[in-house]
Amino acid sequence: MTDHFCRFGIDRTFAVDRDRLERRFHEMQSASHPDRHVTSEMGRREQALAESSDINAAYRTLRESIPRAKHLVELYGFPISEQKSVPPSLLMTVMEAQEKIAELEMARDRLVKEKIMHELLAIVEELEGQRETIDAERERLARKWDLGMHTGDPALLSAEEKETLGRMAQLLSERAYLETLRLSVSAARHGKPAFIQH
Amino acid sequence: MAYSEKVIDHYQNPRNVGTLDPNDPSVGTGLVGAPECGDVMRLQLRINPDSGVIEDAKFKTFGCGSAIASSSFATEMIKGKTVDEAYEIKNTTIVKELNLPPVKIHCSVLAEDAIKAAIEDYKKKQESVAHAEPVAQ
Repeated sequence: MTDHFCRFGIDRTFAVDRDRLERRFHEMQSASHPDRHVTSEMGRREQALAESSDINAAYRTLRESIPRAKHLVELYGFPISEQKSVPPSLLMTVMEAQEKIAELEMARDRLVKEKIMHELLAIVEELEGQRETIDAERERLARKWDLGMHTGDPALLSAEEKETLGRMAQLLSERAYLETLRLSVSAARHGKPAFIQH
Repeated sequence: MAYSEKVIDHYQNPRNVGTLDPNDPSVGTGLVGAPECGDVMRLQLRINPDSGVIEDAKFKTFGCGSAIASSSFATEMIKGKTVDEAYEIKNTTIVKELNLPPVKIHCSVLAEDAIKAAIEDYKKKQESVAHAEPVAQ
């Protein structure tokens, strides 16, 4: 797995200095930009193009806090896709909200629609509360991690470090359910059927 | 990304969408989610307690086209199978049948997990039914 932190020469932390990141991005991009290599030989030009798109991908990952956090935990061997222990109550509530959205799409009567929307928004409010709880814990864990010195080698992680990153991976997966639901709710509020593409 | 014809068919005309009574002791419910993309899938089976044959299957999936197609296809595939046969179904069968691209393999894993979760729920219910029945004097 490519280490984007390493590529940008920055520490593996959850919080990053975005101005520094942006400056670094522009420096790296101007060094490898394909336009600088128009006169170079074919092989060198292709290499510059590939490098340039790698830098773009790394920058996109590091720029936003959620993709950056996912990348960090994955580098240490905690892929989000392996987080199977989702609280059943969260899944149930998300399912319930999705069913309300489906009902809303089917309903023709204005009063019925209003009633369903009202119920949906009550669920959404509850889930927003859960998201705030998740984000508060996420921030606490991130600060704790960012203050320490850490090994770069997943095999050398201490039990405490493993616990922090494992919990972080779980929180990120719980958040993904809320995020997908948020997209569906926002589509429903605009009267559009949700069409999900990842 | 281009979906295969079979995925599009199942996405546009999903089979067996619906709900079975979750409180019915012969119904097993599996509710699973994909942690990376946040898709949720509920799969329910009605099982004949005497023969162990799956007589009905319903699903509801909120997610991408591949997740909907995977669950639709899974319900079609398991009807008429015994619980034990259904438990052995692997996601790779779904991948092959629907021609899912590598980035969508997790959708088929979700369907496999949902089948297993539904069967486990059914078995747990049957055990508690057996315990609840008065012992013959």
